[in-house]
Order: sequence, then C-alpha cells, then structure tokens
Amino acid sequence: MKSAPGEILRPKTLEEAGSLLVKLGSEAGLLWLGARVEPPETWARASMIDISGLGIDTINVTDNEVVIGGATPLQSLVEDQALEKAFGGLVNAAARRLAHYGLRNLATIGGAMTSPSGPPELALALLALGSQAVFVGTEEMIVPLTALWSGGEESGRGLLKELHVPRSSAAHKGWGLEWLARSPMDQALVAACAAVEVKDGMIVSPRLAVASVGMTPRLVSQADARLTGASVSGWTSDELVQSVGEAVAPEYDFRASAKYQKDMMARLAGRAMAAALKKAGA
Amino acid sequence: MKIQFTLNGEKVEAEVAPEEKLMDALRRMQLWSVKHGCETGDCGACSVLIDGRLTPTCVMFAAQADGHELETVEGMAPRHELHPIQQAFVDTGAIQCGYCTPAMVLATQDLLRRVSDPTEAECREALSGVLCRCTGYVKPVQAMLRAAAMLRGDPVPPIESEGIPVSLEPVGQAGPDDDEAQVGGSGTAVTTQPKVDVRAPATQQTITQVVAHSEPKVDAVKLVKGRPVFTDDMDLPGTLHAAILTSPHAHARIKSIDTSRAKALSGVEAVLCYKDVPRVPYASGGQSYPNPHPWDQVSLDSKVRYVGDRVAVVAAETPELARQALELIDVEYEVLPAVFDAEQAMADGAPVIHDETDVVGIEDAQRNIAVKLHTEVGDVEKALAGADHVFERTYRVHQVQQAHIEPHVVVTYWDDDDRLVIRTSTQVPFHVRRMVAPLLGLSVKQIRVIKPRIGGGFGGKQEMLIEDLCGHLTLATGRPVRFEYTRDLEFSSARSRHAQMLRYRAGVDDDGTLKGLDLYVVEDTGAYGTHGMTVCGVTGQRGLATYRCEDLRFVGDIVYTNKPVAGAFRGYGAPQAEFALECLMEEIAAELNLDPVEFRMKNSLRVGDPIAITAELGEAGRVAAQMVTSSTLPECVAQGAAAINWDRRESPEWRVDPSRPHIRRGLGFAMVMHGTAIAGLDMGAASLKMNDDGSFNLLVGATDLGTGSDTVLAQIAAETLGVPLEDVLIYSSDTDFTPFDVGAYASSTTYISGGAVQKAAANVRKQIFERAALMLGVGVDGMSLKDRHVITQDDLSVSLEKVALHSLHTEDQRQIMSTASHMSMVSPPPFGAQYAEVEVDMETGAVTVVNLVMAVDCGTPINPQGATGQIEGGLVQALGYAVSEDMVYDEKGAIQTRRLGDYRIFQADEVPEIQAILVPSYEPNGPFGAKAVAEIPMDGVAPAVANAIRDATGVQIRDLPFTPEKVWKALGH
Repeated sequence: MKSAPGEILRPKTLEEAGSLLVKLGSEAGLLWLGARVEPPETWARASMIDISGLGIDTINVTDNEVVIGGATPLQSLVEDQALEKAFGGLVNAAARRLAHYGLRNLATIGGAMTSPSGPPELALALLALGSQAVFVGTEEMIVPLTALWSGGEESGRGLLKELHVPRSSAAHKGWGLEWLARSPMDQALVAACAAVEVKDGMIVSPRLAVASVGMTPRLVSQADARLTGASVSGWTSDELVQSVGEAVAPEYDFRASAKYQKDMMARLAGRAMAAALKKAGA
Repeated sequence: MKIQFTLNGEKVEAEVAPEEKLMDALRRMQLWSVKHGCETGDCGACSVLIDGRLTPTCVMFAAQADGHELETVEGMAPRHELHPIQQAFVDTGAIQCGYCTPAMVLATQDLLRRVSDPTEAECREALSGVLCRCTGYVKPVQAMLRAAAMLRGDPVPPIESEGIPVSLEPVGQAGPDDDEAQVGGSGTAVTTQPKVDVRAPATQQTITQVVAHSEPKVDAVKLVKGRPVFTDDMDLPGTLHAAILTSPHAHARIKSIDTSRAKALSGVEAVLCYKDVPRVPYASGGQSYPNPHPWDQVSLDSKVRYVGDRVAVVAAETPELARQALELIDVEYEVLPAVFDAEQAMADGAPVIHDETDVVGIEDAQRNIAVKLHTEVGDVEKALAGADHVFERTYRVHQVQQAHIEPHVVVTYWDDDDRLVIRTSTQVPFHVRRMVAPLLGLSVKQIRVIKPRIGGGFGGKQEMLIEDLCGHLTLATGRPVRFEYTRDLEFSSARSRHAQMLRYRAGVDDDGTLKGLDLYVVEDTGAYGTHGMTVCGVTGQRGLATYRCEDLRFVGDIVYTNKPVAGAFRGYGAPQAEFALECLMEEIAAELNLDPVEFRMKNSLRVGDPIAITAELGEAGRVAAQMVTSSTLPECVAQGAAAINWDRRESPEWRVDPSRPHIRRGLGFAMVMHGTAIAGLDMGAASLKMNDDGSFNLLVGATDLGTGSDTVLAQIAAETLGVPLEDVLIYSSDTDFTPFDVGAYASSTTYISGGAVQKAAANVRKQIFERAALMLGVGVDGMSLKDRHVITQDDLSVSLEKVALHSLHTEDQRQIMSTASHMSMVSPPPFGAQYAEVEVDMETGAVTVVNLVMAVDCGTPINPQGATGQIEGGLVQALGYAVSEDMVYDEKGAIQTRRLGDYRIFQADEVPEIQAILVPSYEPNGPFGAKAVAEIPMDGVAPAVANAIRDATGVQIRDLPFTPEKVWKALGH
C-alpha cells in the first residue's frame, strides 16, 4: 500500500493538463479545492496535477461577458470590483458565502463548481446568470452550467478552464440571493437565487435556481416559464411554490428533513424573486 | 521531491514527499507556530501567509508551496521583540489558550497590509478563517483595531486598570462582615459601565497594586510569538506515531482479532489489542481519589460499546504507516443489538451494555443504569399539595462537544532514570499520574506527568483519555510514542456534554412564592460512566439551589447508551439545569401573569441564605449546607437590563420590522448561579521561593488551560509580596516539580489554588519581615512590602534584593520559601444576569441572536481583562449550544457531525454583539475577595435565547438546540 499521491505533475500548458486528466482518468486529480474540503488523504489520487501557473486565475470583463478562469481563488471573486459592477455584486456576495476567508484564498471557482456537495450560493448565482463552463480535455468542450452536475466525471471532461457569464442576459438587472442556515455564515440548508429584468411592468427573462444540503443546485425552469411575461404586480409566490415543488426532490440531511428543505426552497425562491424584482425596479 | 520557496524572507530549499502536507512539512522544519487543529481547513490554526494571504496548510501538499512566499509569526520580529500586532494582542488580552493566536496574528498582518484603517466588519471577516473557542473574538478584534492604530502611528489608549482596597491576609483570616459583603441594592440609577465597586474589609491595608488590575498574561509573549510551548511542539529522536482502530459498530463482541498482517508491515513497531494489555477496570474521569463509580472501562476490551470505541492501537515509524497498519488488522465482530435513547435503555428487554463481570459499582447493569441519585430536603409532596399552582414541564438538552482547537495529544517516553514521562495536554496532571499507573502496571513514582501549555480544554481534558494507550505503546516498544487525535476522532471518540431529559414539578403560590421543586433527570452518559454521576449531581444542585425554596427533591438516573461517552464540559451539568429551570421560571411567570424578572428576584437567594440542597448533593459526600456569603445579583440584573435596553419589550413597534415583515424581535432573560470549586474536596498547593535578586519562583500544580490562571495566581503572589507581576516567575505544572493540585475544573483555580498561593506568599512575607528586622535591628510590627522594598513603621526601608542576598549568603543563611495548601469547605456561588436579543423568522424558523449581555458577580476580579475574556468566550460557546452545535447520529449510531464545519462553532464574522459587565462583590472566603467566573457564562445563554424566542413568538421551545426546522415546527408549520 502506498500513500497518495505518488507524484505531483506540473503540466506546462492547459492542453497538456487536460490531456493528462483524460488520459489518467480516475488515477489523476487536480490540485485545487472547493469550499468544502475533505482531508487530503481521502481525495488524493496517485497523480495530482498542479495547475497553478497556467494562467487561468484571472477575471476578464468585456461588454458581452465575464470570463472567470477556473483556478481563480474565491477571494478574488469577492474582491473584484469589475465583477461587482458587472453583476451588481451578486457573484461577489455569493462567493463570500462559500467559506471563511482563509479557505477562500485557497479554494478556486473551478474546485467549487466541480464539488457539488459544497455550499451552493455561487453555483446558484452562476446558474441564474446563465453561465457556461469551458473544459479542456482532448478537445475543448462547452457545458452549460445546468448540465454540470448531471452526470459525467470531471476527469472525463477534462479541466474546467473557465466560466463564461453572459452580460447580454437581462438577468443582471435585478437579483435576489436568499439562504437559510443554522448560524449566519454556516453552510446553507437551503438557498435560492433569482435574476430578472423588468420591462414595461412585465417580467422578462426570469431565472430561478435553488439548492439545499440534500440536493445539488438546479434551475427551476417551470418557474421561469410561469413568470415570463407576468405582470410585476400580478405574480404570486404561490406560483413559485408549485414550480419548486414540481422541480425538486431533496433528500434527508442530518441538518434538515427533506420536507423542510422542499418547503423552504419554495419560501426562499419567493423571497429571492421578490428581491430581484425590487432591484430591477419593479 | 525538491521544492524551493521563500520562508520569512529567506530562500529555502526542502525535500518533501509528494503526500506530505504543507502543515506537516513546516512543523518538521520546526516552525512550531503552525498548529494542527483539523484536517479540513475549517479551523485555520495551521494557517500561514502564502503570497501575503492567510491560507490553511492542512489541506495543501507541501509541493504546492513551490515558488511561493510563505510567512509565519516566527519571522515577524526578532527573538526578544514584539511586532506591533503582537504587542496589541498582548495589550488587549486577546490571547487565552494561545493555540490559534499565531494564525490570528497572521490574519491581522494580512488585513493591515491591505487596509490601514479597517472597520470592525473587515477585521471580523479577516479573522473568520481562524476559529477560536476561547475568546468569543471580542478582544482579538480589539487587538486588530489597536494594531492598526499603532501601525498608522495613531495614539492608543492605555489599558484600563483598577485597584481595590483589600486585606493582604490569606483567606479565612480576614474578611468583611455580612453588611460589608453586600454590595449593590435595588439597582436603580445604574449605568452600563463595568464597575469595580468592592467594599473593603475592615482590616484593609492598601489599595491593590497588582490584583484587580488588567495585567498582561504572563505567558502572552511566548504564545503570541508561536514558541514551542504545547505538547506536540517537540521533536524527540526516534519517536513512533500512534494510531487507533475504532469500532464501526455501536455494540459488538470481538469474535476474533488478528494483528499479524499489521505487525508484519515494515516500520510497524507495535500493535496492541485486548489480548496484549492487562485488564484493569477504571473510570476515566479526572477526579479525586477514589474515582467515583462506576469503574466500567479497561484499556482495551473484547467488547465494543459505541461507534468509535477502542479496538486496537498501533505504533509505527510514520503516521502514514500507522494508518496503513490499521487497515491490516482483521477483526470479526458479533454485532449485538444497540440502544441509543437513554429512556429506552432503561426499559425491559433493552440490550445490556455492561454485562462484563469485573465492573465495579454499576447501580443496575440489567437496566443500563450506571448510577441512581435520590435526595430530598423538606417534604416536597406536601409543599406541592399546599401550593396554589403546580406546574409540570419536561425539557430536553442535547449532546455537544468541547471542540477545543488543540486536539488531545500525548507523548510518552522513558527518561534516563527509566521512569515513564507522559507529556500531555491535560487539565489534571496529578489525577492522570495516579490513574494511569495501575493500568500500565507501574507505580506512581515511576511516572512523571508534564503539562505544557494547553490549547483549550473546557472539560474535555479533565479525562485520562489516551494517556494509557500511549503509555502501553511505549512500554511495548521502549521508544517514544506520539499519539494525537484527529478532529474526526475528537467527535467520535473523545468526550462531550451529557444529554438530559429534565422533568420539573414546581409548586407556586398566587403571589409568586416558590413553594416546592421536584426534579427528575435522565442523563445519557453514553457507553461509559466516567463523569456521569457527578455531572448529574451538579444538575441537581444548580436545578434546585438557584432560588429560595425549602422543599426539594432530586432524582437522577445516569443511563448507559451505545453512543460516544459524555464527560466534563464547562458548566458540568449546570447549563442543562439552568436551561430547564430558567425556561420553567419564564413559563410560570407568564401563566401567573407576573413580570418574569420580578418573579425571579422575589425568589432569589440573598446574602445569608442557606443553600440546603448542597448538603445532600455535594461531591465530597455529605458536607455542611452552603450559604450565600456575597452577592451583587440585583445590580447584575439592573446593569444587564440597562445594557440591553430591556424596556423595549414594552414597545410593539420595536417588535416588528416593516421592511422584513416575517421577522419578530424578542428579548429574553435568565438568572444564573454557579459554584466555586467543590466544597470539601478540591485542594491545591503552591511553592514559593525567593531568588538572589528579590524575584520569586512560584510553582503550582494548577493547570492553566488558557484561562489565564497562571497570571491570576502570580498576581496574588505579587500583590502579597509588594512586587510587580514581572518579579513572580510562575511555572505550572509537572508532577515531579510542582506541588499537588486537583487540576483545572469546577471553576476552582483562582479560589483554591489562589488561596494556596496567598498562604504561601504570606508565609514568605513573614520570613522577609523577620530577615529585614534582623538586618535593620527593628521589630517586625508595622512592616509592609511595597515597590520591592520592606518598609518599617519608621519609614526605614531595605530592598528585597538585599534581603535575599542577606538570607542566602550573609548571616543565619536560609532559603526564604514556603509551600502551602488550601482547600475550602464552602463553595461561594457567583451570580449572573443573562440577556439575549433575537430575531425570529416566522416563515423559516431561523433564529438570529443579535445581542448577548451578561452581568456577572465573580467577587473581586483578580484580572478584570481576563475575567471579561472568560465571559465573552463563554457566551459565544454557549451560543453554539443554544442554536447550532449538536452531535447528530445515523440510525446505526455513527456520528454525522465529524468535522468542525458541520458541527458549527461560531466564527468571527457571525457572532452577535457581546457585552460582558463585571459587578464585583467581595467574597470573604476567596483570595482578595475572589470567586469563580470561568463556567457561569455557559449557563444562561440557552434559556435567555429560549425566553427571547418566546417573547418574540409566544412559543416556548423546551428542547435544544433552536435549529431553524425545530423552531419552524414549533411555530405550527
């Protein structure tokens, strides 16, 4: 028996890193962390790939989108002013919720996005903003965030090179992020994020994402469909309750029962949407 | 593999293994300030600055440091200097146990390089990466703000310090009469400022120069510099590493165990199971001789009784090899039915957890009752029958963990005289030596226990937990062995607070007079008895002693279950009792339409009142009933009320927030009383000797587990000897060199060990006077000590240095020294008034505590800064007990909360506003009027929060903790 890892690999390029991941399969892992960290001996694999220094730790804001490198530390997201301006502070606030300051300096957005058991707020925000993930393996692959946690190993896709968050989406006009926890900075039992635009008193492009400790983040497309075109004064949270009820099936967690998670997701979804509409000027 | 990085400004090249964690590599390089607290990055004690940013190193491989710049506190200032940040931590009292202090200092460095004038919120966020279980973060945040000012060049205010008029005579020889002991009164026209308003005893000599001053901790410098002062901060050549195999089953017999494959692994030096060690029944609780029954443990057994119970231990050349060896131990279990509920465990047909034949002192093994307590004062049935109203309520409190940041850690080795040295992080070194000797087959004289600095204990280290196993491994191998728990093991296999069911019956007259109290407790001690009986006894004491009431009954069943073992935890049965009692008082007041504070005050104890139940439930057996000899409780109540703005309860507008219509606000109150040491049982001793330059060595067996007791004891000596604190060099504790002390528990050290120090210092003072009289040719009458000089009544003076030199070298030569012991037949209670402000989300059940206030009568605060630090830290620890912390199990008895993040202790950026107020009295039995402060802050937060939730919502919740779902259900959803 040998302690893992047996070797630390330092690829020179992204392509090399992606190829290594795909080639070595389950024998290899990336040296990056999400916000919920397990003891290294439990996740270390025979070959660990160090991707620091590959230049994917920056945040680039253009008129059309924001591109966040996969190795960007969570704390960089918290502090980045251009990012704050681009999305009204949603991504910054969501990133801050993920972990304490020290871990945010170490954990990366790539690690957080590929660790579905971790705190969900950042994933919810990026879902609500319509983000896409770009993986580098044997070839580059674009994966909508909605599909990120629905099957497929990280190593099979390769390396999460960057996330593209569209600014063309109306979503950043108004947002609401709600969570419920045992203590103010505890991992959320339940969280919801809504992003929306209001035009002529009507709801445009609503996007609602929810998660809980017993369920990975997901977009509630039923809610989006029900709310699209609704009057800002005419929508009711009952519609969201029904939509969320149809969309989610959380499982028991020692912190909260499945029923409570489900009820609270609906409740927080309503609050998040109300907050988003208010921010959007409704 | 070879890596290069910059360490504290110097280029470093290091050879590291691919699997080596950065934390381990740095400690291997003797950067001892990097501490192990967990393996998941949750606690941050291992943090260093990497490229200027605070980063936990326990979740990084050493290889990841390649090419980066690393900084630790070792590089902050030259050996004999402090960086301004370190100085600020010392000045503000931000250091308690000091285990997380280096990481806190680095967090400050990180922040202040980026922000020169930070807000409190920015400080709290920067500090959020370092969990502290001692301070409540109040003083560390003050330190950060002070450091920022110092680095900007702004003036900083001096640390407030007071003196009090007192007698210098030892306890029991002088004290105030009853009238003088009563301070305070109705509490009218009070302010919320901390007050030091102690009435002087008639025999007062002087205003104190050291006592009642906020002196810096005597160990602050070494802690803030991260020096190697903790158990594991050493590198003994040839040390083996221990690991433990624990049970995966809640209840099982070991049908077979084969260790041969593990033993065959190269580098494994010993594998021990029940076949390899003597079977000696014992109780692991660190308590006085003879240890209370039951004695229901053996070092290694052929039966396991909870998931996490001991199966086998290994010693190997590396930690990795030790862990690998565990996987090669083949165990076949016969799984037995298990029971996880204490009330079910007493039922007919429940699995019998202790069916072994060699246990000693189990009350009723067939019903899993370890101990049964029953005591009665007066006639409670008659009192209840005669009362206008009888209230019956049941409350439930849960199991929580001490979660000290330094895990249990022990190093054992043979010394040059073939004596076994046990270097251990313990609150009870003398108990450990006595208790471990028979388990190892050694005599007490063959064992030396060294207690270095302790990284927090809170009762979790009032236990002989792993010292026996480490000792067995050294006996088996002849080599030094290091055994440290992981955080996972802390949760599965250490100790915790007892869960209890408490059923009260209370008789009350229409006018609010309490007539009788009947309390039945079922206590879950887990798989072994250890502290079960004595904790339950304290529950009875606190549950029946806080109010005037003559007719009382207490029945307690201490019950085995197949869960991890409960033990001592700060408060020791009192937080359980006070939760139930203070919720009960709130409910009674509400139902009788009485003001909840006035109702309590009407029934509260006053100076001179007897505390009848203490005669029956004293741990030392039957002792005389205690009596209240000092109290400022009314003023505590008034000061606390003013601080939290209690009158807002009457304002309907305040209760709601129009911008958050789902929120309701509420205020809650709890009145608490604790004990000071164990009457008739606790004993401490101190040795004091004078050096050539007039300084003193003070040796105490007391164990400072971060509370600041070394400082307090040195202050008592310094005050008595008329010298500054720096002239008293205190050392604690080593069973070879320091005199006996029962250890740090029961809020006893200031009172008991302080009494011993005061006696020893008074004896030394007397010898100094005699020597000065010889030197000056005068009598000793009217002599005093001040500013390192003896002053005669004729204003002649001689320095202590000259006294020392004369005594040691010149004439009638002798060592000026003394050893004294102290115990007390009384346990004077400290009092406290606890207030909580909450916001309750009526739609989700989320409870946010926004303000905690506690006003405490701890007698004379020997060190006010240290005393408020104890209160602040205790409040935050108690807040976790109230709202978030919980040990949760799956259906097979395996604990689910296996890491600090899941268990959830509060971090710096989420604690509410905290205010600690000292309202001193003068306790005639305590040194300089002191009584306890360490545990009482644990007692009142949970009931105050419960009562605030009731105030906000109208719903009384009778079981802890107040998680969102529980509150949501209670609200009728």
